[in-house]
Amino acid sequence: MATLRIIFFIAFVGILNSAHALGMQALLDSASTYYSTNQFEKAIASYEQVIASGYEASELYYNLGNAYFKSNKIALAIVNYERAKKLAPNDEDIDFNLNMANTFIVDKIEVIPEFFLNSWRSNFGKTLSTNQWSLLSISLFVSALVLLLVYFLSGKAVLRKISFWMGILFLIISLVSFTNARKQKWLITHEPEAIIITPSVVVKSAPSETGTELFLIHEGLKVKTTEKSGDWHQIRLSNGNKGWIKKTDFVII
Amino acid sequence: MKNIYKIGTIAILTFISLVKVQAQNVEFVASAPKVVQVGEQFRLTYSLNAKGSDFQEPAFENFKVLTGPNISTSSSVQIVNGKMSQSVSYTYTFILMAVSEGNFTIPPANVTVNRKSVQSNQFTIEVVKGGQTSQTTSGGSSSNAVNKPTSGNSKVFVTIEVDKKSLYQGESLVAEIKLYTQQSLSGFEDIKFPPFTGFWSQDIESPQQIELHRENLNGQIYDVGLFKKVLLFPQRSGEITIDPFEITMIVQERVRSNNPFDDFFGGSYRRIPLKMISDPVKIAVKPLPVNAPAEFSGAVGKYSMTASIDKTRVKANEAITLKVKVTGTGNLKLIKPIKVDFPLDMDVYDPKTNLNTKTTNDGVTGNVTFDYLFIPRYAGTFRIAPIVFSYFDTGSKTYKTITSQEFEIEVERGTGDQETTPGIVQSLTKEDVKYIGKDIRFLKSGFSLKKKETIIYGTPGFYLAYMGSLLLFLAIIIFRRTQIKQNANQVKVKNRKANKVSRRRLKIASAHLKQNNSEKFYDEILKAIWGYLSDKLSIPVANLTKDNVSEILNKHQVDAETVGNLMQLLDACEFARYAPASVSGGMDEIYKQAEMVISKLDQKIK
Repeated sequence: MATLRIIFFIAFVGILNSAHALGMQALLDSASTYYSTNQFEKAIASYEQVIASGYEASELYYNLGNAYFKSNKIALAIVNYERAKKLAPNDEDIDFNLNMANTFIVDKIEVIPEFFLNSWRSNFGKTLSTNQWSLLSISLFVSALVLLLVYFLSGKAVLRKISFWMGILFLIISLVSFTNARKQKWLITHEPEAIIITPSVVVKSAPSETGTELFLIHEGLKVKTTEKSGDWHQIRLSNGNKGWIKKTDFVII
Repeated sequence: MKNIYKIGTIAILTFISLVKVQAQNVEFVASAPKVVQVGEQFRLTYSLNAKGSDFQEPAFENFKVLTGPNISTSSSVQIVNGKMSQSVSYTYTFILMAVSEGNFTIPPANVTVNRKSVQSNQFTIEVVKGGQTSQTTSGGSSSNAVNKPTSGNSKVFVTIEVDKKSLYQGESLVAEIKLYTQQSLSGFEDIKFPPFTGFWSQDIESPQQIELHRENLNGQIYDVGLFKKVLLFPQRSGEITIDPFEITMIVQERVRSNNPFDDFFGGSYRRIPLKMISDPVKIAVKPLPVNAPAEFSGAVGKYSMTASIDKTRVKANEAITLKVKVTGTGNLKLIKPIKVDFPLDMDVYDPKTNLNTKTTNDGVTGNVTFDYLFIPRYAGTFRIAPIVFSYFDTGSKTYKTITSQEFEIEVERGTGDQETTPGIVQSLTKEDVKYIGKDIRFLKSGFSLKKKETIIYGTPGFYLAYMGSLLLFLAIIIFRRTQIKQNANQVKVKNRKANKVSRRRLKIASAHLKQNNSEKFYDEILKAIWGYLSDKLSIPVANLTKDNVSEILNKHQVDAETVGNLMQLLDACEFARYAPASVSGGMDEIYKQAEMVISKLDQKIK
């Protein structure tokens, strides 16, 4: 009897879930209809509702970014394109639209040239998301162990040789993936990237209204947030300049 | 002499009567000042441009007729190139005096011309209170006068009068620059019209000769002259100021002289230059409502639009003209050519604009035509989307949109253009793909949603995956190791049992010996030796040959003699199996030797 109840419960939850997913699909469909008929505000509302329900997909952020772009909210469009890019780092359409949106940004900031090995390394780290790196690391670790088992247990000399070296190689790649995952996570938790959404922001030297005004930045600019003090966050521009702005001036990607 | 005069007069009169009066346009017009004071004498004239008779004067109520009607006639005869024309004019004049205040209508007068009764126009005269009230009302309107006339009871000033002070951007207003005077003026100098900054201006009237007429302003009578009447279109929203109008007037003033003769001859007059500046006028211009349609380009007023095309079937490279005509009233001259969406593969020339307008008080009226010349270069059926014209309607204060019909053009292949002769390959010029606009890429569809992911890295499960798989790995290794160890023990057991097994075999061999079954005997001896070696060295029997056995035994430090004995024994046994009779030593010898070799090996191999 009890098992029957549990089965019923599971079935019920399953139906609820699929109904929920269907509702989301209907929202997505209505959003694209709104978009096609130039009712961008309504499309934005629908997409935001899907996101608020706890769902995500790179395409969802991409579509929302498009809707924001069309309603001339460039900064929010950039935020959503960047979010989409986080989930799908190699999507060509996302890159195209993001570049398009970036042409509307006021600030032109010279990026400090990095040592090419460093930039290679950080670019390499960004080719996969944190979770992708983590999963890659785990699966490679497991396969390395399997190969080492083969090495230890097989009687055939050739097989032993191959499995040993492959195992070592897998172990090394797993370690690299692990460090990448670690680095990405560290960046997300300690130096999250953000987009300025206030049309014009004065950056202060200290986390208070009385701080010396250092420089002026405009909406759509991508910055890194490093430290936090009350309502104030320290930001770093890609040219190395640092300063403090209020929490309401930016949105974390 | 008198007779001669008479004859002359008669001759002239008959001459006049012979000329047929051209009476097709008989005008009988009454004219008088519009405004008079009580007690003032004024002149009312009826002028007729034909010979009239039987003049019937109207009833002059509220007016006192001092004299009249006084009839004066004049006639003129012109002979141009032998053709004679004559004009006659009759004037009936009354001198009237207003008795009481108010607006009074003088009914039409009647006169008979060529036995037809002709009626004059009706006429309204405003009568204001008389007396020297002018001294008290020297209001602000004339305070701009820099140089006031010395005599205080007469005034001169200039104004800019507008018909509305608040209007929408693009709407029109009428501004009149006027002179008000109660003095006789002898001339003007330095007329400086305002530049009308912020407006687009269009003259309605700009008389060369300034005519003065009387008007009642705040109960006073002024002679009013119009300098200019302008139609103004504000070009921006907000408050726009019309700059003052400046003029220098020459005022005639009578100079009192001590000389009585001067007074007698009309006196002497002084000419005083008087600089006048009008008040600036402020106009509040409202911006147009924000919900303008996309096609709106500044047209304000009341319009209608038609579009027509001269031909719809052409050959390639033939020109077509599309005419768009906008008719109406408003800021017609400011309408920009309407945007027409031509198919992309056509050569389109800049539109030609034709204006046919008239300036009136309501705005510029008429029509404007835009001629779009375009040439299709390729054959096919093309579509020109409906032309949309949008304007702000000043009547309903809303935007209105007019849409024309759609045009379809069929273009046939032209002569000479891409005509393909069979067998001859023509070289075509390649064209780059035309990039028309730049836009972001369209929405993505057909994706599946996922629940928002948390970061796996750093979670216990993440580390558990490593630890778990590592532990499993170690467990498998340890399990395998113990299994191997157990197997090794089994080998040891075999080793231990090797001697016993071999003895059992030898015993069987001895049994065969007693039965003198030589073939089975040798077979059993060999089995015993090989089995013993296999168990002792833990090498399967199949892998043992005489060659590797001696090698392996050498490794186990078995002395060469024993190995030699073993080899000898093996050779002997194998030989004996196939040729039992040829064996010299006999089976007993072999048996003893086998026993001895096995016991020796048992000692050496541990």
